[in-house]
Amino acid sequence: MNERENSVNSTDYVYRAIHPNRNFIKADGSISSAAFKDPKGLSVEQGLGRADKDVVTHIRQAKLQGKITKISVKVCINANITIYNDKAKNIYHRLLLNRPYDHNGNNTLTKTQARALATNISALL
Amino acid sequence: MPKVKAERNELPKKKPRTRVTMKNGKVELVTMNGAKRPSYTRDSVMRHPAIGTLRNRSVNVIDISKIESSFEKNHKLFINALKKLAAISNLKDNWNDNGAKRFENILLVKCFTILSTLEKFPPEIFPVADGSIQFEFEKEDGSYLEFDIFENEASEFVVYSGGKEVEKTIACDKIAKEVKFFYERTGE
Repeated sequence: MNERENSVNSTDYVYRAIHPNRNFIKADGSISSAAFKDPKGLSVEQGLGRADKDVVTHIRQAKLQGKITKISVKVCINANITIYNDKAKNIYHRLLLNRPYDHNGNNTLTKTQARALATNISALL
Repeated sequence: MPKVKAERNELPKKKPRTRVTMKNGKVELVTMNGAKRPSYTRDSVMRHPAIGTLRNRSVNVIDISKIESSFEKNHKLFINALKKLAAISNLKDNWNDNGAKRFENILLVKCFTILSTLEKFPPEIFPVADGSIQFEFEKEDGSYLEFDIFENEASEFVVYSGGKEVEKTIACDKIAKEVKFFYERTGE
């Protein structure tokens, strides 16, 4: 693990805004694992001790309007998902990767990892 | 000519054919010419001659409401899947606001073709940012089947109710068979 795959607190959470066009919402209202598959890595915000409403406000400032999923870091750890600090301007921004970051490769989460996220959402904000 | 008339008159009168429908939770018998007969209770429907005939042939008791609601549910899900695929075909470049490309026509045609074979087991359909289209199936026992469909092949992922996971690559023309197998298979 390099310095960017930072050690994370397992009691923390990551937050992912689901695109608002309803493409990823199932008939029963739950979220499809397809929402968590992105070859560029899955953009999330890490909580880092913030209250949910503060995270939501921060994400909304970036003009992301869809529902926001809150997922425990424990779920990521158990699914062997790499939480990668890409040192973006947004200090809370992280990428969820299927393995250590590959600049040229496909960083899509595996099916097992994407489903682990989709079926372990702590809250929809 | 009068002779013909006489023959016609001698023909036994046919009973109007009826079909059984469920509406607002009530069972109704409707004649095939569209005339609605009064609502019937479930007991009176089960005494209908057609159902009586089936009973005499030792056919298991038929739960009409289950068959009908299952058919209506599947039909609705199938129409929803068609609509969703149509919506996916209209997505433009950058549809996820993170640079995802629009879906290729060749893939869309393939997905419509596959969907047409799944009327009995309609999937939920989702676009994926990697350029594939995802078909999902879920059973009441918690088992789950997913295909990421690409132009040349599909990636299959099954999670059985016991938690066992299987992932493999298959040809797209094998999908309908795999889905049927998934629904016919009991827990593992």
